[in-house]
Amino acid sequence: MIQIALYGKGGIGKSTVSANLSAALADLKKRILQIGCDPKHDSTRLLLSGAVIPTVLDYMRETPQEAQQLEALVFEGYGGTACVEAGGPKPGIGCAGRGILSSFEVLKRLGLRASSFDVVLYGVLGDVVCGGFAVPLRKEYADAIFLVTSGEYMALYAANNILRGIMNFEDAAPRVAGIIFNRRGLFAEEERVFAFARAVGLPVLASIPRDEVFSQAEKAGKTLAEAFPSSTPASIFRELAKYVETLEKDRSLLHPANPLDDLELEALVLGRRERPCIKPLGTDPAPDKKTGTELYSSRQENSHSTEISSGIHETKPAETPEEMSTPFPTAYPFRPPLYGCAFSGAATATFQVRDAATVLHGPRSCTHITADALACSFLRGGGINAGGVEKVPGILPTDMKEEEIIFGGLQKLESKIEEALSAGWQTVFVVNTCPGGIIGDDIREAASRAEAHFPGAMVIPLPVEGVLTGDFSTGLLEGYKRVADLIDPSVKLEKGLVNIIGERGFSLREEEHFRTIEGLLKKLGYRVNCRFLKGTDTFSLRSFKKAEINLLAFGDPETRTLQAYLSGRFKLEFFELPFPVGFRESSIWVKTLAERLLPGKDVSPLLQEQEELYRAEIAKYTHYLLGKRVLVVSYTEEIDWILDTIRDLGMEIIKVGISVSFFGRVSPGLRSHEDFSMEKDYTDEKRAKDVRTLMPNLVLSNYAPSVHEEGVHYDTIPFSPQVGFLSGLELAKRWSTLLRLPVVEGWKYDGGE
Amino acid sequence: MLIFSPDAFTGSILAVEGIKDAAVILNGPIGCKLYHSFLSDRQFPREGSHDPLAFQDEFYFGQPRVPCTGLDGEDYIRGSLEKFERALTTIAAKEKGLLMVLNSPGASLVGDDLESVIKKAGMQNRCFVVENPGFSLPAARGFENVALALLENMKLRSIHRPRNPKKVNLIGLSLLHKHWEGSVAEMKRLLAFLGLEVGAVFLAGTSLEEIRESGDAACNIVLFPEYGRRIAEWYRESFGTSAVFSPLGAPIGFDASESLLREVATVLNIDPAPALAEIQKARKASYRQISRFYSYSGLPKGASFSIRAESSLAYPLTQWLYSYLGMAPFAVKLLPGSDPEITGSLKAFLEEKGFCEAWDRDPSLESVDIAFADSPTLQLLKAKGCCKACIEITLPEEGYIHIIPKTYLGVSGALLLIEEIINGLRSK
Repeated sequence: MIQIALYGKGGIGKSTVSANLSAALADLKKRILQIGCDPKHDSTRLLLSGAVIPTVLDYMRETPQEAQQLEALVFEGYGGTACVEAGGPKPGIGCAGRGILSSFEVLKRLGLRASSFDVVLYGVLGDVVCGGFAVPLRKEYADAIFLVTSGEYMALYAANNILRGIMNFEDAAPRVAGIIFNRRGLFAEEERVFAFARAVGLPVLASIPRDEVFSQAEKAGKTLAEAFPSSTPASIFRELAKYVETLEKDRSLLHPANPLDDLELEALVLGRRERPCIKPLGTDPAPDKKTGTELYSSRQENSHSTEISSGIHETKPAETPEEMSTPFPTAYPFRPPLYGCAFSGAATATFQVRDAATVLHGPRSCTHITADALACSFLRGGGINAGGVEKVPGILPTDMKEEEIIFGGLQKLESKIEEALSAGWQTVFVVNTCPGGIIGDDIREAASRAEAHFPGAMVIPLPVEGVLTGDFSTGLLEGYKRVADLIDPSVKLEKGLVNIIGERGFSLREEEHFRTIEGLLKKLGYRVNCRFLKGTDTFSLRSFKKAEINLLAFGDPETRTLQAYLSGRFKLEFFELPFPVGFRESSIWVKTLAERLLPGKDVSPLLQEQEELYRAEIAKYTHYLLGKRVLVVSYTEEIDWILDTIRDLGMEIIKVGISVSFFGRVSPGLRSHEDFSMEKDYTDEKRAKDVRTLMPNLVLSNYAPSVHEEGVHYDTIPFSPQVGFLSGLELAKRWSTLLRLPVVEGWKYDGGE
Repeated sequence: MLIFSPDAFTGSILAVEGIKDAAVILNGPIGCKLYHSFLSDRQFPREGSHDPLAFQDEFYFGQPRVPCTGLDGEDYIRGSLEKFERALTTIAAKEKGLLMVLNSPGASLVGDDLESVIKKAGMQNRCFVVENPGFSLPAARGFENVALALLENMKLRSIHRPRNPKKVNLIGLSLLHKHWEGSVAEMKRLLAFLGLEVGAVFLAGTSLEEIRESGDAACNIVLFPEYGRRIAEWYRESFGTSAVFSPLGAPIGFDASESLLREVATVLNIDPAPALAEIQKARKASYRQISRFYSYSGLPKGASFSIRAESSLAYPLTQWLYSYLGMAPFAVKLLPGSDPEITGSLKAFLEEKGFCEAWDRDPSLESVDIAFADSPTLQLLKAKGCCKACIEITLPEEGYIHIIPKTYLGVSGALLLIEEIINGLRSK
């Protein structure tokens, strides 16, 4: 048994060659299976008297899996050949490559076995454009590959590209059978094809002339073997069939794939020895300098260059030593890992608009992963009760199934958007995932079509395409930008109002933080206008510009990027200090904010009141903690508030170790570290050594070790510290208790094998 | 809507993550990995720490489970094989057992020939590929697809051992099932009354060795048919192993548990009496408490309930709450992928008992005494005033950390349900 694949440029005649070859093989009494892998599904037509058969993909779409049967897909053609067509989506829609993958899976599942035939023949779409079309190239499928080409440059280019594709799949054994030359009758065509064949080291197995019998047989819906068995072309196919028969027994006739580089191919076929030097638009000509692209493309990567130079065309001149020493890109540059995806980030932003719906265009898994996190934070944060909102934020998934991936999912998306609008949502965001993006579903088109049916409604597309446009932060920012489209730029400023910018919604304490800030603002006579973007609604978004100033929840790069965007777009004023953590930061925050909002107002009574409260509380714990030695280990240097608390309690900071930050963030640095030593690139080993030599009473770190180490108390640094003047108090209370407890709790002895 | 159950992608990952000495390599972006690593680690903890610095190896991205290639947009265009080759080498050196490579939904569209890389690395014997993540198919379908691919990959058909009349396998249990660990313990306990030992648990907490030796079992007991019907069929075809199903679905409540144990005893021609005696003992214990509660409250009779679950769980629960505790079904909503046979039985049951309006009704449209569902659904129902008490019977969970093994299956499961129901009703 042998499996063969015929590849070639679109329109080169693969279907005709495949069908005629299958017919000739059938005449040799071979059991033949021909599988057409071209979405236009006409590969087997001539074997079936011109009949069009149902495709695997159409059948898959129309028939429930449990009812599917192989008999509905395999049809008997000329000479008992078994004919199957994979099919595919309409041009420009969906993913034809995925279609090929799915067809092969279906055929396998339904029990189609190659071993039941003598020859299995795959006719494949023009070029190896993606992995889907390369399926027949895989070792488990094609034993031998035939290239169908004419003498046109693009046909030879495709043939060469296919050789490149094969090279990507090559393991030990060669798999290229040779070239089938389908003549077009062009000038010097034969020279070009044979030169190409020599250059890539392949035989020309058949040279098929242009002949009227092809057209007549096609009109009759027949192969030459059936319609014109005594014609010259029919005899060529008989010879080719015999070669396949030989190949079935002797695989030593197969050749390795040795493609040419582009310049070699151009030299060979077009006679062009070098490429014109072009300059990027708007730059000065630089004729002496080659661009990286030119250098890369002129690289000699094929051992057949010498053969070409001795053939009908000259090869390009050898590179100069200077050019030779220029480093070529051998690998793609390192790209930092993308944490999360833009789809999830964008949906997280739009989800915060409580009276808007978000349509998620992708498979259920993407929706589940994202919605699980959103539902968790919404429900655990008391989403419904806290805000008094009865309406649950709308998430509508398209739940793309395999058929939408293959045939395109725009229709389903459009009806899902209409479902949201019909349910009364006046604002609908549409976010897409990797699969939606890869198959090219244009969500803008679906959004605008659906919007047209609902006057007054807004459908806002966010084509972030899963991870294709970036990570979670990228998507979050894109989500913020599109939500900002709802802001009415003509709204006038009102005194006594502020906006809160950049709250995250992941921390359970976020609402507590907000209440603290809200309380401080109240003492200054201010109230919150809009929270961008946390549990807000379209009304407060439209009124966004009423606020006198915008307060940042965090000072991290994401929030600063959002600040820059909003500031640039709406000419807003921002208060530069983020929500304060700890007594010192809070004092500065209140004073600075009051100076800006209430010039001349004396806030010292407020600060004094807070200080008295803080000192009185701290004093309760000093008794237990005075003079105790603390080692602090942290991923970030944003721990001044902890160090202040330690100092305020009369404890001693003996050292601060900064671990390599897992997320690669650069923190601003400690405000002051004169009273202790600091070490960067701190490790667990260094900590263990310091514990032994410095003998702290307490070690603070982001994660506490589970095993009992070095007989010392450990505690964790909070991920989401309390905002405001009293942040340190909960730590002080905890440490004062902790140091009175056993240094090593009993459970820690139970972790061994 | 806010709550969306997992699909085949998650079901596929958790199938292999349910094997002690196997791991999943995800060929996809980190965004697809983070959730699944978290879920696998929470359902089947293997590590003692959450510190990301402890999992800094390349391709693990600070988490202990489900290493991934970390694909980005460029990889979708240029192909992922170079990254995959590197990841395979690194991960294979770190993980010791079997590896399954699974494409993310996006990566599966690229069509990279991952198999060729595995062959090149000479790792066909410990690594297999599942290319299709099952776009939006139910979780149970993904679980079964992967389980069947695993069986084929392990070439179990070629391992022939004499049948062990005292050994059974448990089929159709996943890390996606709440309290899976306690469920395994309970089934082992009950089957021991029949003189039976459990071999492989397909696929929750089992080992490759147990799977390799699973062909000699006297029968396969299917706990959740959605997750095991096709697997049991594979064993029947390959080894002639009988499959035992409870006609009511999963062994939830006394009746379904009793029915399953009777079926097992019939198939293996053994006396069910010792196991039935254990159930009888539990019935007596529950009687005393139900009776005392009933005497002053008249409950649980007349208390209403709603359920959102797969049919193999929803049917025995509905049937048992109705017939044993006299509770009224107001809303029963099935999750995607429910077993069609059991779904039909459930629908017929509700119609027969005069509660057809409860069929396929969303729990958020009814106000009931007790709601049975996953945690987010329950939180939502509670917040909207649609239930007085909640019992979390499926994933996702709220995050409660269980130390004592619990189960809703078997005798212990029935007692736990009664306890939670009575206390739920009592406190309202």
